[in-house]
Amino acid sequence: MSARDVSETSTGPLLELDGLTVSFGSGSSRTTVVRDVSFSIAAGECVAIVGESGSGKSVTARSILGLAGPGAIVEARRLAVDGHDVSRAGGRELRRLRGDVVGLISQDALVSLDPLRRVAAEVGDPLRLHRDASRRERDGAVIELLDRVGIPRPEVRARQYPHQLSGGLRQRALIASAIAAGPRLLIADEPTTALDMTVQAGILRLLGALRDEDTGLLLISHDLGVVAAVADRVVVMRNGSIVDEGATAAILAGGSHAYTRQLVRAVPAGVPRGTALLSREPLPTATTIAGHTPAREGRGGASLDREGRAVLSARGVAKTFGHGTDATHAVRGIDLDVHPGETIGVVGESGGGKTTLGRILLALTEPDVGTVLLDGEPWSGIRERERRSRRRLAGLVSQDTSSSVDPRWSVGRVIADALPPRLTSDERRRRVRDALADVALDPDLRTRSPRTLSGGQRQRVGIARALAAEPRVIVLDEPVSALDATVAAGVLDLLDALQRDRGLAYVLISHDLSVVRHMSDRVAVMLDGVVVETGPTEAVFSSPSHEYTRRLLADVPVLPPA
Amino acid sequence: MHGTRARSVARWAARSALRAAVVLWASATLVFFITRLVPGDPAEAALGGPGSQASEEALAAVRERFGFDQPLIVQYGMAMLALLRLDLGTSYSLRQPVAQILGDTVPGTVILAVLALLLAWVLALALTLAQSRGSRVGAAVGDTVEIVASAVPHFWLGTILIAVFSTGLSWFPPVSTGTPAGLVLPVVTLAIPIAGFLAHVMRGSLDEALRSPFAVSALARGETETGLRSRHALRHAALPALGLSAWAFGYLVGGAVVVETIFARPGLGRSLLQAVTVRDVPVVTGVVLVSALVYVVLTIVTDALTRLVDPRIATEVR
Repeated sequence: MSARDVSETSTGPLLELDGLTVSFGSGSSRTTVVRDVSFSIAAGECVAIVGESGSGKSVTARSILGLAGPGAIVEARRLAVDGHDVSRAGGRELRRLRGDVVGLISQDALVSLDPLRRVAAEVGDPLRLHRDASRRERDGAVIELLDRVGIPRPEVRARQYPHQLSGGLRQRALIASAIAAGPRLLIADEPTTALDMTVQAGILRLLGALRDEDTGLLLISHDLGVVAAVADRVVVMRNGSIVDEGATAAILAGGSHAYTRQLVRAVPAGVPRGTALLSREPLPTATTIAGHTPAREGRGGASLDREGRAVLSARGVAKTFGHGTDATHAVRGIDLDVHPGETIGVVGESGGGKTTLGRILLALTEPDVGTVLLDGEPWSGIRERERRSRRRLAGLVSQDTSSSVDPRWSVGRVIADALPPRLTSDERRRRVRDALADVALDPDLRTRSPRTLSGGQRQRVGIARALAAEPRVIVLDEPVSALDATVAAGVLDLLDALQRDRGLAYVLISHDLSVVRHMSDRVAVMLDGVVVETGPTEAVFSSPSHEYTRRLLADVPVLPPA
Repeated sequence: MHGTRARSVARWAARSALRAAVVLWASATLVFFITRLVPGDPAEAALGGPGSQASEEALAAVRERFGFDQPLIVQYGMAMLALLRLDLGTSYSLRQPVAQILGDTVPGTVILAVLALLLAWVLALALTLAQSRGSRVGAAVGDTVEIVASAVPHFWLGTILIAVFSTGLSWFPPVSTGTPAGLVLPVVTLAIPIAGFLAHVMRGSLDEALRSPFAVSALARGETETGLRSRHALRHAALPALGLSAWAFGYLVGGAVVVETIFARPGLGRSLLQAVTVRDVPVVTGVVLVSALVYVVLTIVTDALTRLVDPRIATEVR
């Protein structure tokens, strides 16, 4: 292998990047998405690029493979991997580098592995392409690789198709395929974004182990917790340029640029309930809503048995899907009370029944046993016709709420659709404008299509839509999972402020424990359809009593104290 | 895992058989009532149509013999029972058992349609691969070729092909006899419109596959552009076209009516045309049922092929 020979003689860094500029289009429509980016990675070193979507971090990574995309114009004073000049390499040379010298792990293995090919074929491809390995040799190597990335029963998994593997196993298989030919540099582009905390922790340990075996690692992430877990150095990108860089600890302490501090601030970990994330100011105390004292006063205390009536109350609800041996007990006997002005956080891994519980609370799924009361009135076990007039009292904000409406609708129509019936058109217009103002959006956005908005704006539209119906309780199902950290922080601050203003009750479903900790008064930890632990947030997080809670907490990547 | 797979296949087979039975029964019912809805006396039709000037006694005898004097529902029951016995009746015009007429004509048409479908697939794959290099001009040319090809009527295409390759160049006979050379022009005539249509569908899904994240993963492993197409994208491209092939076959049998007439080729299409013209109800019924049967069998075959190519369907738990 010529690649090997060169690497043994070259003493420079594994990756040399100097003055990388990437633009698309030509003439007046030419846009530059990466501007004069320079950094290097040594063998056995992990450098992370952090930044929000559109900051150019992924394009930077793809340029290293010569895969910046069709029509990309890539210029660099030097762009070299292991001594090979990528910027001047032709198609054949580039193909020799890809997979052999540089490996790519992209996010979401569900779509990054070919669904029509067996795992073994996908994982073994680099060996076929770079080592001329025979089918038999590849099969043996694939099983070793799968075993190495921690996939149990590799002989079975190798013969399966990607859709038969869980998200975590798929991501491991994707890593196996990236490291099959033993590349010296690995590029991991958001490798854990779609994964549970526990699975994420496993993947990060695996990446850390590869780095310790002298592989250079370029990690792309918007999650500072992930970065803290593996990176040695961090490069902060914004609008295509590097704004800050330094050792991981220094960057997480705030770095040397205002934008870095903003990024670090957006992380909800360790920020107490009731403090705005972006400003770090305490939120104004709640206005007293007629007839009830906001639950806020009981915050921090073990006020499980509250005064007053719960707005949403579930007793012994259970739901099983399928039957016989295929039966899945999604929810198995859960009691839950949500009071006005309080947030209940529901945490647990995917498949734990969180979403089914949310659907039962919203009366979208009928429980097999148990009852749900909304505002003291029956909410489950009744006909939809009897529910319809009260539907507006219970709202939903999901990961990308406004994409679940007709894409041809304007923002204004999306919101107006949720308004109570029988309003005059003037009143409707006024309410839509108010709803947009409530979520800090420009009322002029009402004529736009949700598709033309940014992710954060769309999520605000989703919240405005939920609010327009004047709900008493809102189920927040992963409300910020699809958003960049600073945008997510803004949305969380908004939700918090709205709750204070209106005495809203929230059921917050999230796999992100730091979001739940920051937002919730009480938490319920779900495992296999059962609440294994519940209590005031701080009590559960600081002294978890159940083994599963302890394990969940151990897997949360933490930022070192600033 | 193996048990689940076997069970899933068994369940699929049972479901397919049931569906096939329902489709055949529905086709038989439809054709029975539609032929009765046509105005005119069925007894007269049985004796050769209004032109035959049949006597009143002859008509009565025929009514008695075929049960036309019975209530419609009884006639329907009798027709269904006859079908269950695989008795298709006797042709009014040819005085031959319908089964024998079908036996003579079906193989020719099926060979014609199968060859046309295979040729259409080959042409579509070639067109797809040739046009999928991502250039805008290439895509525009591809679009034009595919749309023109799928819009060309069979009778026009057949006539042009005869004019050029038989009359002009004398490469192939203008009349399709039993020889392989005689098959070429009819098969090409039938295949070209379907090829354009299949290529259009394939190219759409091929482009989609080439833009998907797994294509980036493959390229990042060092896969060549050709390898990306042959090992990854082509399978994705073939899936929707595979699903449409059963439908395409139905279209081909319909097109065979025209093509067999142009090339004076004996077959199902021509039998149907003649039978409809003289209101030969038993033959029409037989032809429709055989077409439905072929269509059902092909649906099952393409379904099985789809399950073979797409593992996500094969292991789907229902």
